[in-house]
Amino acid sequence: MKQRALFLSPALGFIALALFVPFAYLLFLSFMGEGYLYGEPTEATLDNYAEAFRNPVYWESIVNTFRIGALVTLATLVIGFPVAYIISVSGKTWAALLTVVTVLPLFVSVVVRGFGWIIVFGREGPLNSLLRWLGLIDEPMQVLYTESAVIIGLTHLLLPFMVLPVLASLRAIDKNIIDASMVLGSRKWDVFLHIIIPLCAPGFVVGSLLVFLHVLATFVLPAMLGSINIKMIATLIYQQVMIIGNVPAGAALAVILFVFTMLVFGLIAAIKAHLNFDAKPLQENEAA
Amino acid sequence: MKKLLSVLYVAFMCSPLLIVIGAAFEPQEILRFPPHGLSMKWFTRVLHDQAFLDAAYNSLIVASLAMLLSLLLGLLAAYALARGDGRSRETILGLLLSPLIIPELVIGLAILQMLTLMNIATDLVVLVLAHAVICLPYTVRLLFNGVSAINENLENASLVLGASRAGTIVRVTLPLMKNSIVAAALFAFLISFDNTVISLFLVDSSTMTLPITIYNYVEFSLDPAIAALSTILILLSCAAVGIISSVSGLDNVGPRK
Repeated sequence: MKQRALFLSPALGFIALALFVPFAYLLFLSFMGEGYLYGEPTEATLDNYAEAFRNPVYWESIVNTFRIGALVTLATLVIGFPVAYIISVSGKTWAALLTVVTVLPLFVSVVVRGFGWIIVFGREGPLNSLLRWLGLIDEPMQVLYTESAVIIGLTHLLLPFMVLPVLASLRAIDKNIIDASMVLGSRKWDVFLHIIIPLCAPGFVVGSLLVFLHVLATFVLPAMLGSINIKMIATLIYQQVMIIGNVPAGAALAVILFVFTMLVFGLIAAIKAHLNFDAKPLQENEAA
Repeated sequence: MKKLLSVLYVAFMCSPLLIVIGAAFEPQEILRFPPHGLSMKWFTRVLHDQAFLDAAYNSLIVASLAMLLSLLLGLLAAYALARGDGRSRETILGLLLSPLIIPELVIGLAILQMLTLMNIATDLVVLVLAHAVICLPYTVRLLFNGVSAINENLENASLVLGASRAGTIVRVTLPLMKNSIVAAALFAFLISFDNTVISLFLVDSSTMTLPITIYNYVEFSLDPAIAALSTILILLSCAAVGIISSVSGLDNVGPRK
């Protein structure tokens, strides 16, 4: 194919102009003083970055974001793996139903789901009614505008990103490997632990990657369900830029958020390479 | 055990949506579930509210155009990557998928600052271009998988038998990847239609989209009108899922490795 460059250039050119150039400009802004956009002459400075680690509010947001990210990733793993496993071993009807239920929320706007949770978590809402009916609480609990609300909302939001890659990995497992292992005397639990889980590793890693990346950058649900109580990097950036009007500070935070995202991405890619390496002896055995 | 877990999961995934639908039928001006009665008055109100209708129109236009643009760019790039020589394929794919790695908030902020620098007003065109940036990775990835899954011998046979490269693409490659094109198109449409974060930076009062309208509304008041509007959106989403599952199969749609 000779026209390869011709076919590639529109997409690459578009991404360059619409994303890379603006991003480079944002990077430039992050080294400028607060008054730069208001016409004050400023020199290049690292103050905006230093502020992220000096200012306790900034630092708290960063730590919060990572903690919530870890908790949500864990929650989606704990819920998502059994669900994917059940889908992979269920009959057609159940598998189809569970897949629809997993995928359907992906197609519903996040603001609609945030709104749904606002009703669910209300003081007189269904959650409090349920807990009271079960006898677990006497007084209505304040769930809305707490970290729990944000974590539950994000887990619901991001579960498909865990279930679908894990399911794809489960479905890609060669059933002959499992049969061979059973014939050679493995118990069910061993098959699960030494074959299914390792062969699912790419799915886990991709799922965790997607979930964590989404949490890092998430803005809408924390803003709706956590309001001003839950400080995360994204909500802080939005405040700095759109409310306080300190664009360089927001830009620096945005660059920090980007660097974190890249670090997590690199880390998980490294884990993935390692896991693929571990799975190799199995394939060699199979070939032999 | 399996059944119990499945039922709990279904309840968890569906509850926020079902509760929104239930709350939309509340006759009084109170947002609650279960509703104390059944009334359609909030639906009528939403369908006669000019602000909601304008937002729906903007959302449809932007999502359609962002879908078309990202589909076109994605098709060209995916074909070149899958069928051209493999030179720096990973790098190019990485560049095209990079909007997935850069947080949407950062993308929205960067584009807004760039527009301010160049003195460009935020209008629907700007919104289309910005949405196309985040749709592109999905179309590139899905379409690249689509082209790669085609047995190249079918295309070679067509070329050997005298068809031109363009004729082969139109008559052999594109029909064979129909499913991934449909999936990519719907995915791109919904990514744009549902987008809140980038729009939040780039809309003004004349270019409001539906998600931004809901977002702003919920901040100031909670009444069943938003539940009614949300119910309409949920039903539209169900229709989209129905279409996709009939043309393509649902597990083709989700995020890929």
